[in-house]
Amino acid sequence: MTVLKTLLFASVLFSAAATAVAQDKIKVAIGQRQVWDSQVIPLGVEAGIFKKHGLEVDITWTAGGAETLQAVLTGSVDYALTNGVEGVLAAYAKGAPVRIIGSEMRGAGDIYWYVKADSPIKSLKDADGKTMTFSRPGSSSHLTAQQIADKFGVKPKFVSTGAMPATRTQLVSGQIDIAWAAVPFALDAIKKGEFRIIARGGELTELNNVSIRVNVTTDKFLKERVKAAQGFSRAYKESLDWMYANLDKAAAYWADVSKISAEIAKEGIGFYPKERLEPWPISGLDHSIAEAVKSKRLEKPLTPEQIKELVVEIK
Amino acid sequence: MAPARVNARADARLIRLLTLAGILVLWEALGQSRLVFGEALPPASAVAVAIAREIISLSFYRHLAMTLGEVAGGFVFGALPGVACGLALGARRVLGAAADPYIAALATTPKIVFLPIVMLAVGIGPGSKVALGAISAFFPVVIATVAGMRAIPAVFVRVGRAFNLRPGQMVRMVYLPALALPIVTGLRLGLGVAIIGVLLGELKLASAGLGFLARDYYDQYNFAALYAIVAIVFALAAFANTAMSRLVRRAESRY
Amino acid sequence: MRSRFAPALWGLAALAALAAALEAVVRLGLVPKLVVAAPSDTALAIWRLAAEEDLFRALGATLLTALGAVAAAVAVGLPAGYWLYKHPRFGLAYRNWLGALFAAPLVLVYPVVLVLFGRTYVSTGFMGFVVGLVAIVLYTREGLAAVSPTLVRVGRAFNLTPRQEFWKILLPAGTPMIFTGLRLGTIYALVNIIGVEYLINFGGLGFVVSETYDKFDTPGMYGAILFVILVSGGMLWLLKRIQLWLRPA
Repeated sequence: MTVLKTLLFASVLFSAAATAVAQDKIKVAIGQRQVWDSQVIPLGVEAGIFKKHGLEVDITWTAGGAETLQAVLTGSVDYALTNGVEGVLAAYAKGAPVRIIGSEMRGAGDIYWYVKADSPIKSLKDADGKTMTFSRPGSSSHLTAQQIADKFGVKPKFVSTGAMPATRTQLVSGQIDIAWAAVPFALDAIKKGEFRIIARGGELTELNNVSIRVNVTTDKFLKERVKAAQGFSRAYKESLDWMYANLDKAAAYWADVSKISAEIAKEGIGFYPKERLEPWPISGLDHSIAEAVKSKRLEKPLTPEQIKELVVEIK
Repeated sequence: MAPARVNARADARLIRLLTLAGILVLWEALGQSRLVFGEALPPASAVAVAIAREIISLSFYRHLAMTLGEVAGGFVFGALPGVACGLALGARRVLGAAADPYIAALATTPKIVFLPIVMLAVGIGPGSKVALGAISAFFPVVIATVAGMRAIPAVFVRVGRAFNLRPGQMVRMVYLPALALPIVTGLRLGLGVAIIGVLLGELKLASAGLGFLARDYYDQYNFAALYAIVAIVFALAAFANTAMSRLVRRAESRY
Repeated sequence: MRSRFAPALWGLAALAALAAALEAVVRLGLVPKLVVAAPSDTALAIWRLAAEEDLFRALGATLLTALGAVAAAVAVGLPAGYWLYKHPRFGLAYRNWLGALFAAPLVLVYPVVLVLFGRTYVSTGFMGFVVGLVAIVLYTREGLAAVSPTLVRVGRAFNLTPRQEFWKILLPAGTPMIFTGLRLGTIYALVNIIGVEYLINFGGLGFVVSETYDKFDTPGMYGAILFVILVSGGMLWLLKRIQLWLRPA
């Protein structure tokens, strides 16, 4: 529906093209269609912001894994959004011509852990020896789970349960004690009292200054399409501003896309303070590099020259 | 003789009907009770409603068209080279024997693991799904064609040559009758695996298509809709298989 | 020289030429190194994977899962096929359904299986079990139904018990097709298991492929894919040899 609307909007503008700027076409790959922070570009397109900056945007949705980054590396798309920062560091270290041009998300505020309403676990402090889940080894949910358990001083049994739907069912059937999820998953059931949230990634306040997901492009794109790159970065920032200035409209759009109620949408937005989505600067890069070395994704830390090459600010 | 046959067919139909009814009743009961697997097993009625909802929604047909297009493209781009290679490899003994182990080994590999290479070659749009479908369809077709070529008794070819048949006549009177059945059988299998290749590609990486839709519903925890898509896909696959089976039977009877 | 080894030699020569061409293409920088690995790096990667990432543990895991799945499929499928043969009304009734299931994209139900059994070897094994089962039931029934009625009548003339009839007449006569079903069932089970392991990032070989992909370890990924090809090809060869040994055709 969105693509149709966008195409309609674009064609209307084209036909009234007397003063219209020639549209530059860019292709974008975004993972995770359902989450709030993935809506920046779709909303920006809807609101005509990208058009204003002379850009026609073509979005491909991925399942959120390495495909997103692979897509930009093979030249199939110009930008890859919502990439885990450690994955980008690893790719760069292996010689990929990636460039980080924006921070997509800071902190783990969009992740939470929940239990069944009748569970004896009242807070994470009761989690000793209980099964606490995350998606896959090395994922942000995994790292966040470990850090938050450390912070509360408990030693749960960590179990990888994959995607959120499978995790939820295992919780309901009693195979696991604590399920992980990201906004807006299960918020409706939580609201109805079926489940209770016992821990939030947002409690790891020290992470709130670390860009855990970043937006990237290639050095080729930056060299050859300077105007489009500028337009993109400007339009992205403007779209973000628009999102938070028009929360009602943005929430309605998000609710429609993820099939959640408007109420849940408004609640979900509460998990995303605007400063966490600001595209600049790339926060906490040193922390991310250190973590990447620890998890063996990087053999050794990046040199300052490498960081200078990797991270590019487009104004 | 005839009455017993008709009875057997009528009995078979009755058995199928009763089995189907039994499965549906059991499914409905299990689903309603929520005893087994909770919300992951919605009752049959909920799935029926979801199917109806899909069929009347316009966007569903957009996804259906995408998947059908990708399957058709994949099948054509896989089957045609498959037949061509099969003819070439079947005709030359040494070439065929040399290629055999590699084709056999590649045939048994799950084609989804070639997705990254496919992305490099054709990007991440529908082309990547078409390519996966083509790679999947190629192998059953080439294997069946080679087998068909090898099964042609050499004496047939010699007789044709003895009669100084032109190439066109050789194809019409010797090769085509002998190859029709094996090739069509290979095509049937090829279509089946092309469907699987395309759907799996859509699950991993797509913006439209039935596989994409299934993934979307799964992420939304909407199991009734997910089952609906699975049911629709199975129905389409069964339909394709039946159509191809009919082709096989025709080839069987005519050649 | 029409030696027996000529085809194999030609095949290896072609493979070597292809590998050399690929090596050149990658070294010359014509393709992004992160998407296509040079054959030399791939070979080294297999070594590294075997040492560091437990490639052989993964192989064992996948093979064991497949073994379990096939064993279960045989345990359920052979009796089921036999039962359908003994009750021809039912055999006839379900014949088309089995054919349709055989061609159906059964792998599509993996999200549901994942939800039911979690990210465990039970899930991957179950996927292998289902596809293997369909093949075995289908071919067992067909194989038994194809046994010449004359042979069966001879058995009746000797007053064989159903058990004797099965072991002395049905099974030997039906072996070619039954074994084809076993062979197909095993291969399909293995392929599906590896495929699902890749899709859900869990398990044995399929997991190694997806894991190396996620880590941008491109040579490792190609090494793992090559390993998968070798294992499936090897399995196929082994089964063909067994079938030839059972019934020299």
